Amino acid sequence: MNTIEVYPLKNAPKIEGLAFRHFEGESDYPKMLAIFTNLHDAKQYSGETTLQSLKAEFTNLSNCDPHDDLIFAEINGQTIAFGRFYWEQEVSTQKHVYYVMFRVDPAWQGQGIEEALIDWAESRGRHYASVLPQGEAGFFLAFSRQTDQTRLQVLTDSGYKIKRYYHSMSRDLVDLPESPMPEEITVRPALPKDFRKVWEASNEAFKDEYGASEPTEEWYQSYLTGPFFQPSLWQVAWDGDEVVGSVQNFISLAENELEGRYRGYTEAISVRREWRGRGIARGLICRSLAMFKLLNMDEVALTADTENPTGAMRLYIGLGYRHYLTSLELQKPL
Amino acid sequence: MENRNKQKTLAPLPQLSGFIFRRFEGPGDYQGMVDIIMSNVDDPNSHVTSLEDITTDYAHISESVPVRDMVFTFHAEQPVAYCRSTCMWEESSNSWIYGWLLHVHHDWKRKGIEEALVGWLEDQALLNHQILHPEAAGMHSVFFSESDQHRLDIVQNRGYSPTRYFEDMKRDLIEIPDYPFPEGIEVRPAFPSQYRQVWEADVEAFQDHWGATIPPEENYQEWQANKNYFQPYLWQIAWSGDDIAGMVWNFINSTENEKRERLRGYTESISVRRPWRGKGIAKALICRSMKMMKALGMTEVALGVDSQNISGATKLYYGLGYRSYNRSVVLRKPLN
Repeated sequence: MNTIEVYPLKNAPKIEGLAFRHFEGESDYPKMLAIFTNLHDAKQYSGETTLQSLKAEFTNLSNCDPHDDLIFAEINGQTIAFGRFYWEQEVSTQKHVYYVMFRVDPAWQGQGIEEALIDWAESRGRHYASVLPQGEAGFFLAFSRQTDQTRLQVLTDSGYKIKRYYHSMSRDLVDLPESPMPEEITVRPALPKDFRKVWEASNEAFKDEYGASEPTEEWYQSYLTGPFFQPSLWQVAWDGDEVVGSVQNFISLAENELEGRYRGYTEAISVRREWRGRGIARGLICRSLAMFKLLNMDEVALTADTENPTGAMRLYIGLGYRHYLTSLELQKPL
Repeated sequence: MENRNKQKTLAPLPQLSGFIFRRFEGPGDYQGMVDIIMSNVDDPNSHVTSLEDITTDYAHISESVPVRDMVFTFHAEQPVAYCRSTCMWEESSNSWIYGWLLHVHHDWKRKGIEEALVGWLEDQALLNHQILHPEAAGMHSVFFSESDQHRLDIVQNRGYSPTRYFEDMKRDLIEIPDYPFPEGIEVRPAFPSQYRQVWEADVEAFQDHWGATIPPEENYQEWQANKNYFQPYLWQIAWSGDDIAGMVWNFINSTENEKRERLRGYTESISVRRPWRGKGIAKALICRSMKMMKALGMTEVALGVDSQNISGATKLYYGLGYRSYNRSVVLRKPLN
C-alpha cells in the first residue's frame, strides 16, 4: 500500500535486495529499536533505547531535516541500518560541525553499507556547507567505541582521524566520600520554574568544554520529554537565586534490567566559571552518591572527556570513579 | 430509534437561573477544568493540577464515560463548575459504588450550583445503575475533607451519613529513626518487566482494606501514565527472593510543591503482604523512604490513611512521627 520513497545512492554496495529510503515516521521506531537490540547483544551499544526515548529524540530533531537528513537501509524489506546527519555550531570557533551518525545491524556490518552511509552524510554536509549563512566551514565528526574494530576501520579508511578520547567511568557505592559545600552555597531541589534555569546554567558552564555547541530549543524539548529527565534526582547548588552548579542525575531502570545491574548516572556535572575551585562539584557528586545509595543502586557512572581543561578527570578519579570503556571522536576536514 | 435510546441513558440536565448546563464535549473542555480546579489553589486541601495532568488522566479514564457522566456549568460563556459521576465495584460490601467529583470555581461557590449538580449526579448514577446493573446492590458514596463544611451540609441534608474517616498525616525530616530489615529481605527497585507484579502485589495487599475495589485494566495503564505519581525509581520495595514482601510507592509532585511553596515527598501506598506482616518491614521501608526523601532535598513527608485500618497502620505512622493535619470523611447513602 505504502510506496517506499527510495533514496538513490551512487555508492551503494551490490547486495541483493538492498535499497535506501526516507524516514517513515513512528513506524520506524520499532525497526530502529530492533537494530539497537542487536547492537547491544553484540556489545557495540549500551544505554536505554525504548520507543519512548526514540520518540522524544526524533520528534525534536535539532538542525536535522527528518525528510532529507535521515536515511534507512532495507534488505528485502527488512530495515538493517540507518543514518542521520545533523549539524551544530561550535561555541569556541563558530565553526560548523557536521555529524556523521550511522548504525548498522551486526549481521550486515563490513559489507560496504557503512561506506555508503558515510558518503551520504558527507554529501548532506557539503550541501549544508553551501547553504548555511554564517559560521566558518567546519569538519565532519563521527564517534566509535575503541573496541568496535569494523566501524573504526571503515572510518579510518574513509579519511577520519582520531581526535579525542572519552572515558566512561563507574564507581561502587560501598564506601562513600563526604565533602562539605562552601558556606555561601545552598543545595535545594529545582522546582518546575527552575528547570530551564538549571539547563541554561549547565549550558553556560559547558561552553568552556571542548567541542561545546550552541544549545537549541529542540535539545531542551527532547531532554524534557525523554526518559532521563528526572529533576527530583538532580542535585543543584544555589547562590541565592542563582544556579551555580548541578548534577543532573538519572536512573534508567530499562537499561538496568537489560544489563542486570543497579546503576545511577551522575551526568551533566557542571559548575559555572565564577564559582569554580570551591569544591562545589565535589560536594554535589558526594551528595549524589549518598542519594543513589538510598535509592538502592549499587554503582554510579558517567562519561568524561579525558582532556577536559577544568581537571574533571582528576576529580572523578579522586572520588573513586574508574575507567571501563573508551569512546573515540574522529574528524575529517570538509 | 437511536435517539430514543440515547435519551433513556442520559439524566435531564439541571436547571438554575443564570447558568447554562451541558455535557462534556471533548479535550477542548480540559483547560476550563484546570482553571476551575486551580481557582481554589489557596485552599490547602484542594489539589493541584495542570493541562498535562488532566489530558493524561482523561486518556485512561475507566470509572466513567465522560460524554454521559460529566456536566459543565457555564456563566456568560465561561465554565464555572463541572462534575463527574464514577462507578466502581466494591468487593467488601458486594455492591456498586457511585461516587463523584465536583469542582466549582472559587468565585461561584454557594450560589446553588453545588446543589444543582449533586442532584444531577445522583440522577445519572441511578440511571446508570438501572441500565447496567439492575440486579445488583448500589450505593452513593462521596469522599472529601471535613474542612469543606458547605459540601458536608449539602450531602447530609440529602441523607448521606458519615461512614469512614481518613487522616492526612505528615512529618518533618529532621530526625529519622533507623529500623533494620528482617533477615532474608532485600530492598531493591523494580525493573520495568516487574511493574505488573508490583501492581498486583498492591491490589492484593489492599484487598484487606475497607472500601477496596477491583481495579480494571485501564487503571494499570493510567497508573503508569501520570508522571506526577508514577516514579518507579523512588519506590522502596522489600523482596523475599522473587516475591514482593512489601513496598512504599514514593513520589514527589514538584508542580504541587511549587504551588504550595513547600518541599514535600509522599510516602504512599504502603503495603506489606500477609505472609510477611508483623516483622517490621513497613517500619523499615518507611524509614528508608524518609532518608531517601531527605537526600532528595525534601523537608517533609506525607501520606493518607484510613483511620480505622485494622492492621494498625495509623498507630504505626504515629509511632514513626507522622501527625494528622487534616481529616477526610466518606459519606454514603443507598441508591434509591
